[in-house]
Amino acid sequence: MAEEFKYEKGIARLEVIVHDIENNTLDVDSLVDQLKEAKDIIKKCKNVLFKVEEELKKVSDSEEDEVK
Amino acid sequence: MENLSLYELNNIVREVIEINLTEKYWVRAELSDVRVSQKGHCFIELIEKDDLGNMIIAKARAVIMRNIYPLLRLNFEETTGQAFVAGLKVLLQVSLSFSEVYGYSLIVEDIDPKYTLGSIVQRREEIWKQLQQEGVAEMNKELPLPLLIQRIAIISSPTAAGYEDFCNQIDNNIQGFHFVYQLFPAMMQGDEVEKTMVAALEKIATEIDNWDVVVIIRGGGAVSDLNVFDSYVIANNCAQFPIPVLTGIGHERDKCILDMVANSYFKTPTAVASFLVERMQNAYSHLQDLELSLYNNMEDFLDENKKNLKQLIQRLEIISHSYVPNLISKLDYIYENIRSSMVHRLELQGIRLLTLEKGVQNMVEQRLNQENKHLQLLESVLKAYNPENILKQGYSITLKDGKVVKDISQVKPGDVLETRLKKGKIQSIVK
Repeated sequence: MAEEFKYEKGIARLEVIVHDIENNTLDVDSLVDQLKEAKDIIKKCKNVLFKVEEELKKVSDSEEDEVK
Repeated sequence: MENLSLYELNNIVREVIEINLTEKYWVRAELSDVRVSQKGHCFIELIEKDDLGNMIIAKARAVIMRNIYPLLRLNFEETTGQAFVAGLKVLLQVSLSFSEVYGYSLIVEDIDPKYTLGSIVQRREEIWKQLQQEGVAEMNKELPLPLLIQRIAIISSPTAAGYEDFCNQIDNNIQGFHFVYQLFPAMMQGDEVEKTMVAALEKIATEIDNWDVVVIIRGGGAVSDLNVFDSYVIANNCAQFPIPVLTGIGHERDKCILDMVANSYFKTPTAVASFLVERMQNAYSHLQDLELSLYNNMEDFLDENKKNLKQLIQRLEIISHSYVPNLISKLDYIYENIRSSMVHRLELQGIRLLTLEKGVQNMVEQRLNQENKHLQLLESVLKAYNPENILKQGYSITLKDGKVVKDISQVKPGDVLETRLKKGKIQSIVK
């Protein structure tokens, strides 16, 4: 539930940012900030979809088990 | 007293039946037990319950001989999509038999599967109506499917063919989407289905926050007893379940009650898996679209700004190059204006001067003329009054002591008078 919540919120926020840029309602300074925010959201969303970190963690955990 | 042996008694009964009750009867009953022997005969226990469905009011054993059983069974399963198993209501054509050893039993000659189908359909309708009346029928359907369906609680049997297929498809999805799933095992056929499925649902409910959906799958090639999925209890439970329930039970017949209350129904476990993977793909595509949109718009935005800046610089350059020449032009223009207007004014003045000059000249001439005339006039007057002229005319001037005499009183006798004539003078003495 928590992950889902964040993903949907992230997507919604992303839509807003894209919309603002499209309609030129941003000035150049806030553009940089919002772009950073958008990149961050995209990264987090991709992470949720592909759970790269978890996979990496699993791999390193299983390696530890093997060593034991 | 007269007595018979048991065999003899039974024999009498047998004969009566065999002689008098030779017809075949179509009988409605419920299968309460179905067993196939090693030899291939099908042994059935038939029952009839009272109207409330509680008490058994009739019971009989029946057998389908192995020479017709496969055919009857096949026909039955094809028509009903349902295995020939306990719990079903059936319409059988039977002949009576009685054996001294085994007693009364029925020999099944034929089955009418349409009756069973009808009863299945009817039962479904009844259950569905009941669920609707209770207001729960649509509840699970009304739950919105979450955007990301990533955590899946699976109710199935670990030995079910569909379960393995489902997991494979989820694990090996091409794009590498991450799913989390766990099996909550239950019986998918037999007597314990209702009990185990309800237990599985309850278990999931205790950790409801960990899951996005429940997936109920079975699959399997052979026609099985899907009858169990028309259970009111299971359907009631699923209908009210707090997260969406997806079914992929896998059969080729109409939807069972469970399918009808489920949030989404799929024909097979594989179809459910496909749906879930596709849903992730859609979410991912949407994300990618946004990303692309973001960068495109960003580029456009920056290009726009760069262009504006460039234009401003160009304009600035143009202006700065031409600034001084422009000023000079302006000055030239002003200068030219001044100059030409001055020339004009001078011309005007010149003309004015000329005019004045002329005017003055005229006036002077006029004046001179006037004076001249005046002079002439005076001259003539003067001429007229010139004593010479008067003398010319014969007049004379009389002087006394050099003074002109105009009045007689001026003279007394004895005075010396001078009379001037045109020519000469006369001196005279007054008498």
